Parts: sequence; structure tokens; C-alpha cells
Amino acid sequence: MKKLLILLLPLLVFSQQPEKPKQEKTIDKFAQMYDVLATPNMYRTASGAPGPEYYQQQADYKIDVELDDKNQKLFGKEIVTYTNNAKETLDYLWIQLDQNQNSKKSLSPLQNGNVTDPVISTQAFSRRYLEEKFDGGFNIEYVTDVLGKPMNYTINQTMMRIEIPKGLKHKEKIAINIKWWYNINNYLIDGGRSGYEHFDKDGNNLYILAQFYPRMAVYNDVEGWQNQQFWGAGEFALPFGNFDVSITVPADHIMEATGTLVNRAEVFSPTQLERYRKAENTFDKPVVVVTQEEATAAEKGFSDKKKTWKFKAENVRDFGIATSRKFIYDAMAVQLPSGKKTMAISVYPKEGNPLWGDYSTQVVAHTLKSYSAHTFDYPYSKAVSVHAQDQGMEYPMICWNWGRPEENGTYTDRVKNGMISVIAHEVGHNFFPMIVNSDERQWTWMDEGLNSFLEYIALIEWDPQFPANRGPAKKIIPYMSGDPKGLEPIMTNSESIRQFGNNAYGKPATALNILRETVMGKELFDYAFKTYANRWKFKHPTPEDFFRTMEDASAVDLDWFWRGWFYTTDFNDIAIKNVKKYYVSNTAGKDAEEFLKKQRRRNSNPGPMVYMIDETASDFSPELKKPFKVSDFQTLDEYVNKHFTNEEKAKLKQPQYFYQIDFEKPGGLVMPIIVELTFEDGTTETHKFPAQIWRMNDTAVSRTFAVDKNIIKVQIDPKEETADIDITNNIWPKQETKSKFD
Amino acid sequence: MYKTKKIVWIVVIFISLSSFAFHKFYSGIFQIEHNNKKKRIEITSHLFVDDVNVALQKKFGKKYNMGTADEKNSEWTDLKKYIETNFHIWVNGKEVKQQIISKEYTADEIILYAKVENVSAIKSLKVSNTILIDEFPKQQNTIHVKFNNKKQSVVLKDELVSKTFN
Repeated sequence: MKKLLILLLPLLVFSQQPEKPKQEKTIDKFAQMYDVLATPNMYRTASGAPGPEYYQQQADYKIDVELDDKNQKLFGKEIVTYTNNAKETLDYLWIQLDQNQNSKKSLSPLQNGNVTDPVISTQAFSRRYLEEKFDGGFNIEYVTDVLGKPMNYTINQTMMRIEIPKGLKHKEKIAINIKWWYNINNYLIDGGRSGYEHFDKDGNNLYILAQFYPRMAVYNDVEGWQNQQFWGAGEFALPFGNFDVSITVPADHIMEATGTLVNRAEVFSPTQLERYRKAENTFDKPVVVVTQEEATAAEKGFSDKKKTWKFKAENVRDFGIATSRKFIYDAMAVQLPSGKKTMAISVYPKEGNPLWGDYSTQVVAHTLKSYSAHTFDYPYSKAVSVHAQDQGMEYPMICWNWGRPEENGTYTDRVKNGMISVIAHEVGHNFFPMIVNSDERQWTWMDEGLNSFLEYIALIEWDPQFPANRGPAKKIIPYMSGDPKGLEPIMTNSESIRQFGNNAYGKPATALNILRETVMGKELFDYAFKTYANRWKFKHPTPEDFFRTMEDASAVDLDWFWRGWFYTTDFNDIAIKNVKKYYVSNTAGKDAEEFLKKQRRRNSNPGPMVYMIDETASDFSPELKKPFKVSDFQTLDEYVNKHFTNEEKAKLKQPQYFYQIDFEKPGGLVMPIIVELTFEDGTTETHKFPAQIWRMNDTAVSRTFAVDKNIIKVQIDPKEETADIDITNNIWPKQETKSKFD
Repeated sequence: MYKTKKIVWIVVIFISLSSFAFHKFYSGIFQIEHNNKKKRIEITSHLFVDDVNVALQKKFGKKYNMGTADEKNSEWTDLKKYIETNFHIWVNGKEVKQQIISKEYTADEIILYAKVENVSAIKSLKVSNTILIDEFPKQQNTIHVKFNNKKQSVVLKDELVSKTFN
């Protein structure tokens, strides 16, 4: 009984205590990110590098496809050889059937609500309520093992599971034969990242073929099988492998594709071959290999004969093809920073000229050099830019880009700059995610954000005045100043992002730009970014690997930055609340008396003092109003004479005025404070305080500036480099800017 | 010449019904703020100018060159007409007329400034916005409103073209 009482006692005492007032949980914006980041392990280390147990799977393909140009169908056969490098045994494989997103049974069109529009165009009405949907899904004819024995498979929407009865053990390989065909979509009508464009005038099609074969899904230490369905927004996750691809098309087509063309002499005319050899040694401008005249003549041919183009590619994650009678072809050699050589190539219909002949290949060459300098040498033998109306899409070594002049060949600066931007962007994707192979199905920002950031640098290096629309801090303000509840953080799955362009491209690109130019500085940033790119090239990084590497290689604590910019929808807004000017006095003013009382120093002997008096204080006497001099204040003068030699005295600073600036922070983000002081003689001085200045108080902080001239203006972030959403509160004295609305 | 153009535009309008737009985005941002001191609503609209030119061409059947050296005065009049048709605001249940004041261009955007005078107190604010939405099914118009010291946002698009804020 006694025992029980003793046991109960603490409980009783506890329950008798008055209830504590409920406290709002204060969020430490500088807390280290143990609560959100995955625990480091043997696969992925705490430094952000691949760990000793890191592994990745390999998928090698031998593919034969044939294009039926008359009926826009593609027929294919492939042997996928899959190597299991994981230590565990796999009972089944998942293969991606991306074209099933275009099948009649696709769930993608059913995942969005729609309302009955009171007004609807006849075409839209017809498409929505009358017409049958295009059927572009894969038709799988067989799935067999090497001996031709059928394998058990199940198709769930865009994913196919193939069973391996005996299991695939560590280091074992399995080869699978698959035969299929599908109807190629007219992407201008039915949408999609691949398909064809039909040219009414000459009756030709221009094909851009991708996701055209059953592709292995990724299996790794993070997701197991990455078999999230392809709904349409989240792009791709693919393992690396070697490709051996034969593509049969009408004999009068010109083609480009991922990999090295191994039978160029069979598919090019002798003259074209000779021009190509010349291009291989021409570094200053593109050499036209297939001319506009040749392409225009080919447009009329409609040959019944066939030709097979053979490409081989090593260590790529995917394969793309562009083929048409309409293609003009130009190429030039590019010298990379290390001295290594690669090729820049463009294929485009005559409708793209003169814009494409003038710029495309040059932009490809520039992009390869710029990205290589900021990451690693471009490792592939070529990069191709294909002109496809209204497309902007990337594959290894090849990409589709928009930017078409008017029919009379004229174009606006906007079309030209748009075309240059999209080519730099899509060629840039060779680095992220084709080589630094992040999971696009999960995180759009990891390739689009990083790539938009490097695209911005490449464009500014192309032309310092280039009107880039993603990267400069100012450009993201309209997006970030929205109601934070109506936005989602950058760390959001690709399918759940409402404003794709701003969230997954613009905001991360801006964040990295601010990190580079304002928070870390170019030197520390560039080394860390390069470290990330080199650690994870030809591997599968996660967001954690990026966040950790950037810190690990720079010794800049960035947890507060990742937290704010990537995990919340907070914005930056720092304001000047007040600027007060102080004068030094021999006698205590009212404020000083109060202060001393509060300090409980009435009875102690604090020693000689000087007093600072605010010039707006009621007891401020005008005779104090003069520039500060040590010799005017007896106690201070004595202190200085006692403590410093004449030589030391000569080195003392001689401030004349004292200003206290009170800052406040209506914004949720913590960011550095950049303050520019303008003096009466027009000169300026900039002071920068790290974001850590907010660590003890998230809403307000003050700083005193001892200066030798009168301050006439104070401005926060004068160069608009921090995406501060309200700049009207950045200036003292308050300026009445003329309203746009008066 | 004009006929073939039109066909091209119709084609453009039907871009990708089954997949998300990639790399070329169709979006606009509209900031609608109540200025208590001046008793008016201030509206700033950001739109891609090339998309605006296409939309006007579709509506009025001729070529537009806004934001280029070839821009004519009549194009500004037509744009104002287009905005008035496609962008409506109701304050406390009653529709108000916005006065479009001026425009500015950046590298690829047109920024429009407009206001509604004599608005002293707002209990509810309804916004309907179909700008570029009829012309581009992928268009997303982000509306940021601020009144009574409260910020609210909505993304208007094909399936949802109006919203009431309280």
C-alpha cells in the first residue's frame, strides 16, 4: 500500500499543477533538417555522395523498328537484357509502356474535373462530345524468353509486370523478347512529347519518335521499383544501358537519333558524306550536309523503297529518333573545355529557315561548352537539335525544339529568343537528367530547376543582355507573392503541382541563382555544384544527395535555405521600420536613466560612461547636434589616452554620426539583409548581414551604424537580388513613388 | 495567306489534350489589391505577349504585333475590348467596371494596369477570368487578391473560370 502511494505520488503532484497556457510551437528556421531528410545509409552517405553499397541496374537494348509512313504506324521488336546489380533477388520486372497514356482506356483524361462551359467553340464541342478518342496505346504481340517461350505478364495501365519464376539473383542477367506496334499520334492534335506533324502543302510528315519501345523501369534503394503510372506531368525514370538500334524508313528520309550512326556511308549520298567529313573538322560555323534544295526535292519523292539506319549508343538512359523527307541537316565540330571534341547537329524542315540555319547549331555548340564548364565535359559524341513545331522535349543526344518563322521567313525577336532559349534548355537536359539521372516521375524540379538555372547562365554567356525569363530574382516575385496556401513547395510530386512553370522551373532556378550570387558566392557555389554533378553523373541522385553535397563541399550551412525555399511556400519581405540618429552626450538623458534603472546598476559602480541620445527625444538639446569628436567627451578622452599609445590612437576609427536602423520582416523566409547607405555627398556604402541575423528573432532586428558622413537614404536590397516581394518598404525615408494607378 | 494562317492557329489551339504542356507554358498572373487609402481596387496583369497576339488574332481575325515596332494604336483598343469581355469583377455582389490605364512590356510579357474607383469596403470579391483560356486550353490564370489585409489566391483554368473571395 505504501509502495503504491509512493508510486502514485508523482502523478498526483503532476495532476494538481495548474494547466500551462498553450504555447504555439515556435519553428526554428535554422534547425538542421534531421526531421525531413532521409537517414543516410550505405547506399547514400551523409555527405551526399554515393555510398560504398551504392548500386544501379543496367538495361541493354537491341531494337529493330520500322516506320509505316503512309499509315503512321510503328512496328518494333526488341531484346532487353536486364542485369540485377541489387543484392536481393527480383521476382518480377516492371517495364514502362508510356504510349498507353494515349490508349482509349487511359485514365489520364479522367483524372481532371470539367464543367459545362456556357460558351464553347464548335471544334472544342466536337472534340469533347462527338469525336472518338485517338487510340495510340501499345499493342503487345508477344513477350518471350530467349528460347521463344512465352513469359507471364500483366499490364496495369502504363506499366507491365513480367514474372520471373525462378527469380533474378544478384549479378544475374535476363533477356526478354518483346514485339509490339502502335499508331503514331499527330501531336499537334492529340498532344504528347512525341508523334508527327503533318505538312498539308507537300503531304509530308515530320516524325519525332520517343517512348516508342517498352522501357525498363528503375529499381533502386530509394523506391524499390519506380512504377508510379505515367499520368502525363511527371516525366521519366530510366536506368542506363547500351543501345543497338536499327530503324527502317522510306529510302528518301533523312534521320537523326541517339547514338553514333554506324552505317553513314549506306544512308548518305557520297557528296553528303564528304560534307559531313568536312563538318567534323569545322569549328567556327555549321557545314550544311543536306541542303534546302536537296530536302525540297526529296519532299516530292515519296519513295516506296526502304533504308535502314543503324545507331549504337553506350551508357544512355533512353533513345529518340527524328525522321522526315523534309530534313535539312547541318553540323559542326565543338571543342570542349578539356580539348575533347564532339559534334553539334541540327535537322529542320525548310519552314524553319532562315532562323534555324542561322542559329540552331551555333546554340547547340555554345550550350555544350557552357554546361561542360559548369559541370563536366559533355561525354557523348554529338548533340542534335530537331525543329518540331511547338515542342520542347529532351532525350539523350537529341531534342525537339519550337521556334518557327512566318511563312515569308520573317520572325520577331521574341520568336528568335524563344527558340534560342528552348534549344539551350533542351540541349542542357543532356546533363540533367540524361546524365545526372534524377527521378523525373517524382521530382520535376531536380532536372527542370537545375537545368533552367544552367540555361540562364548559358544564355547570359551567349549574350549578357539576353532577355532571360527564368533566373533573375525579380522575375519570380509575382508567383511568390501569392497567398502561400494557394501554392505548393518545390518539394512536391510532379503530378500535384498547380503552376508547373513557376514551381518546378522558375522558383528552383531562381533559388540556385540567389544561392550562387548572394548567399554562397560564385566560387563556393560553383565548386559544390560541380561536385554534385560529378558525384552523380551516370547515377541516380535524390534531392537529399543534392542538398547534402552543396553543404558538404562548401561549409555553408544551408538547411535554413533548403527549408524555406524548397519545403515551404514562404516569401521574402524585409522592411525598414525606422531609422534613428543618435548623438553622444556627457550627461544621461531620460532614456539612459531608465535603462540604468532596468539594468539594476543604480548601486553598483559602473565606471565612467558616455550617453547616446536620440535626436527626436524630448530632452534632446540642440547643442549636442554636431559631428562626434572623442576630445569633446572628457570621460571618453581620458579612456582613450589611458589605454592607447599615440601610434594606436592614430589608427582609431573616427566616426562622426550614429544611426540605428530597425528592420522588420513581414516575410516568412529568412534571407540576408543587404543595406545600402547613401551619404550627403552622394557616395554609398553597402553592408551585408547573413540570414543568421534572424536566428533569435524572426520578425525584427536592429543594427547601429557608426559613419563619418550624414546618411540621406537607406535602401534594402538595392539590386533586387533577393526576390523581396514588396520593395516599397525597402527605402528610408519613405518615397512616394508615383502610383501606376493614379 | 490569311486562310492558311487560321488553320495553323486552330491546330495550335488543340495542343495536347492528353499530356501536360512542357517547357512552353500558358500562364497569366493577376494581382488584385484593394487600396484602402485611395478607396480603389488596383489590378496588375502579367501575360505572355505572344499568346496575347494569337488570342487577338483569333478574336478579331487580323494579325497583331503588340510589343513590336509594328504595333498600331488600334491594337491597344482591341486588347482593352478583349480584356473587358474576358475579365469581370464583382464587389459585394455587384459588378464593377475596371478602367484600364496603361501597359508595359518586358522581354516576353505585357503588364497591364487597371483600377476600379470608389470602392471603400469589400465584403466579398468575385473574379471571373477567361483571358487566353478559350484560345489556349492549357492556360492557367493565377489570381492573387488582397483586401482587408488578407491575401488569397486561386488558379483559374478551363474547368474553373470564376471564384468568390470573402
